[in-house]
Amino acid sequence: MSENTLLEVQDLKVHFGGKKLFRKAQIVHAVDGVSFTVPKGKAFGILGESGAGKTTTALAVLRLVPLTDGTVRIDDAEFSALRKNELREARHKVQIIFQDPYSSLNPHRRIGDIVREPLDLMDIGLETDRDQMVLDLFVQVGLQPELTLLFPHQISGGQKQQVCLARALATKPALIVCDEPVSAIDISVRAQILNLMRKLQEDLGLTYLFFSRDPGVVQYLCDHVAVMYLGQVVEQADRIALFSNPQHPYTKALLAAVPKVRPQVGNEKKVPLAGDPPSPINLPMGCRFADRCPVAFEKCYRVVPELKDRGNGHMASCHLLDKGLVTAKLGNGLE
Amino acid sequence: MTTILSIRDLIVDFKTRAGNARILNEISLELNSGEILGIVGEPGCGKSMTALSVMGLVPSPSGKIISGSILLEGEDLVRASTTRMRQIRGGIISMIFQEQVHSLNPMYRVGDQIAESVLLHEDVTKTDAWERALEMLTKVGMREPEIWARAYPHELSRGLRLRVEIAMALSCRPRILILDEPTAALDVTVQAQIFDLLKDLQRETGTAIILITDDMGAISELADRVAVMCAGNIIETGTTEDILSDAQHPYTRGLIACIPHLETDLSEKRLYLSELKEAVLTPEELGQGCAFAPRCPYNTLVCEEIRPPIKSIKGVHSVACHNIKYVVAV
Repeated sequence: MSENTLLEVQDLKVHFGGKKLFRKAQIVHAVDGVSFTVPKGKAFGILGESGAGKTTTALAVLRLVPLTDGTVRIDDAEFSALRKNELREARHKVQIIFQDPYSSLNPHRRIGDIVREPLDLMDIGLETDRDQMVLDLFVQVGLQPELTLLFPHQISGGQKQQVCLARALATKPALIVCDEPVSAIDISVRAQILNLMRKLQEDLGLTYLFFSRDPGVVQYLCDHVAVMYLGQVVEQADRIALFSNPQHPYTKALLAAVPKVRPQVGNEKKVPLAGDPPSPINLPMGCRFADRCPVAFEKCYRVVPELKDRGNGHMASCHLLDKGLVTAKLGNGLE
Repeated sequence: MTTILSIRDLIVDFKTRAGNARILNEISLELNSGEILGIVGEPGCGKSMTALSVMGLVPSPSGKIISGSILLEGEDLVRASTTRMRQIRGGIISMIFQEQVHSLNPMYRVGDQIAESVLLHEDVTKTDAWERALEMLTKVGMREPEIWARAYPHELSRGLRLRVEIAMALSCRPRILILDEPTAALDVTVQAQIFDLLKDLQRETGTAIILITDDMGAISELADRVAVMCAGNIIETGTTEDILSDAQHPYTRGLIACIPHLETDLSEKRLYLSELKEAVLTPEELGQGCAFAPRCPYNTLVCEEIRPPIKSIKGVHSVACHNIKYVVAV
């Protein structure tokens, strides 16, 4: 593990389900062999549609679901091997912000107490200082300190997500895992939360592991991006390479499907992907995207493609890329 | 182009514990036959309430249409009888609600649900209605309709459920289709499929569509004309191009600028997003002035006192703002 790496996930697998008494075992391959490394102080985005395994990956990184296989290393600790008390101890380094701020704040507690809770649990600072620490955290995320006595239902959706951020910052974590933090809040407030997240990153040198299904949001906040499809990473690159020169047919289709607000030059006809992703229970034999891929050929249905470096750390898994054919075969249809 | 639906000076009030809330404040809108009209705004601005008023479904007794008229080819829906409204709903005007999960009955096969609405509105036999259901399912792109028609809603993905809803809404060949945030919960690839389907169906049937959404992307993909709503008022209308590339009202500009749009030419330099101030006033607290005034960067004294009238600035492009000449592009 290099100096600069904060989080290293190796071949992570999370499968659900198992033996049934009278039926064949049905195993849901939610996350199936995901590897990535997140450098210190950067925002690493994971882009994928529903069912891609984003949330499961997020939970697995925090050890909130049992891992089937693979390792998670944070700083120098092997997070995936820690037990009870060690794990609890290590968790102050990682915090999470959930998708829905409406259900992730306890409705019976005042928001000041909610932000104070991790300080009490992890025994951070002197007990007498903690009230002041809570006020400082409120200021840090742009909330007025007078709000500490309110209950979650008395504040707006955007403010709720600010409280979630303050709570996550309370333990001074190195890594914050964000599971679609803006998808549940009003469209007009999203900008505020995204700007705040970026500002906090600049001020505190935070590292984000950011999961989203909105390519626009990922493009705005993240430095490196991985694209997930059905439990696997299909493409991974830095922000500029991925969005300006996507390699994998799925990434191309995904980016092409995003409606463009500003009319763009050369508005060519898009070819939308047909159908829905296959079931994560009965996985196809070859490439998981083959069924929906507009350029799939015979080998794709048989052999699983490998995630390989296509130059400058731009990783993609596609048989056509091995032949250097995707762009040629896709023509202008999906560009 | 003929006007098929015309809403004039519609006022809808809601009684709440905090007082009287004016949810729609003299809304005027026209829908021409065969066009797609987008209504865009943040949550709570009255978009859905406009649609519910047209459908005669304003929640009663708390909500009430105070004045104004909704003319469907000359017939005033505000004064129409319940029996007549029942014929209109589903027969002439269909609506697809936001949460498709809740709007299909989990206990019935989807084919039966589509057939039911045909049976209600048209004088046909059960076999004919079932045939129509299969035909509609084929139309919305579900191959092997016999299999899908026998499925229950929980067996379908969200995209397929929306297709069933579209099939049901169009089964009686309505003149107007209202879509309330149809693709809000969908993935972008599925959303693109649905947009294409809607465009094709619209071209084929000529149904006029009202599209309610908070997503400017959906507007740019589908709508011909757009009305922008803010706190119960229509503050800007125009063609889609007028609104997306030449928005005049500071609220419209804010709505467009506050979303991180996907760009293709990227640079190392990264700008912050421009923010739209969060709404702080509840509908009960809004005063006489411009609905956007408390959040507007160009706010002046006159904005607080007098509600700006909506005025045409160029063709169909109309704006309600006192300070329009001072507003600079963001």
